[in-house]
Amino acid sequence: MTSETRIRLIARVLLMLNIVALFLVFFWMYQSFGKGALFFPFIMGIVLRLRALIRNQQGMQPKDEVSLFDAPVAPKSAQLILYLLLPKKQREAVIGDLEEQYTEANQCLGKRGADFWYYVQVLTSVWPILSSWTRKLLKLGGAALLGHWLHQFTQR
Amino acid sequence: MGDKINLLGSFEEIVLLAIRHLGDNAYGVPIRQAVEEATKRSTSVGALYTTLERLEEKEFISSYQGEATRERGGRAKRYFRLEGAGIQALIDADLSRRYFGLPMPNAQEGAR
Repeated sequence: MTSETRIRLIARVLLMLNIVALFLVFFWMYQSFGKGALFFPFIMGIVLRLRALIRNQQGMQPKDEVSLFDAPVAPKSAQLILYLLLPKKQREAVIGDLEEQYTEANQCLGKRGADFWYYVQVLTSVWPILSSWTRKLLKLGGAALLGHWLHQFTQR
Repeated sequence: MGDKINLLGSFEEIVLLAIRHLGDNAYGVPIRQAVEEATKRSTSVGALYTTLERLEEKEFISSYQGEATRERGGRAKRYFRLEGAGIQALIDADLSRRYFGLPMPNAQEGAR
């Protein structure tokens, strides 16, 4: 395992721990404040947006513009969608392919344009993935239903 | 009746031809570019990989892991290779097209 892969693995584990921690905080808030806690993500979003605006006005660079390996980094949230939806076998290849094209898009369109391009790629990819899942589930459901009918038929 | 032939979808056929055309460099990005150039329309990466997965299930192609590069964020490439069944499927598709013995329609016929 190269040091680059190791650092990426650690970063991935930290990201997952972050998500789990966020989920636990949200669960605790839901337990304490009831349905009012549902506004928590929206409030957090507004606070983060305001913070970014203030930092921008002060001429400070947002954190995500400085990459670990001086290469542009694709939006993590979009990567997470792919990570959760894709089968394990396809995951690395698909995310890697998009990352490779993201690097080229970043050179042509700039960070913001490349981020937008990446989100479009992810959103247009979600439908074929979901429809293939649905097809497989329908086949399984159909087989189960057929089995159930046959069982009922033989019981008579 | 003789042996049944393998019927390919048009997108599947284009993907198989792209893999054949690319040879040893057939992984996601160049396959997608070749398909987009051939069809003159954009193809989502999800649609491409769903088709590649289906072709692999039918044993028309096989895949193996390649090298990881920095611009891919340290992620490995997945190369695809055309198998015997895939070549046969392409031959069958061509044969079924020629079966009726008619020449392919030209642009003037399409404009009528």
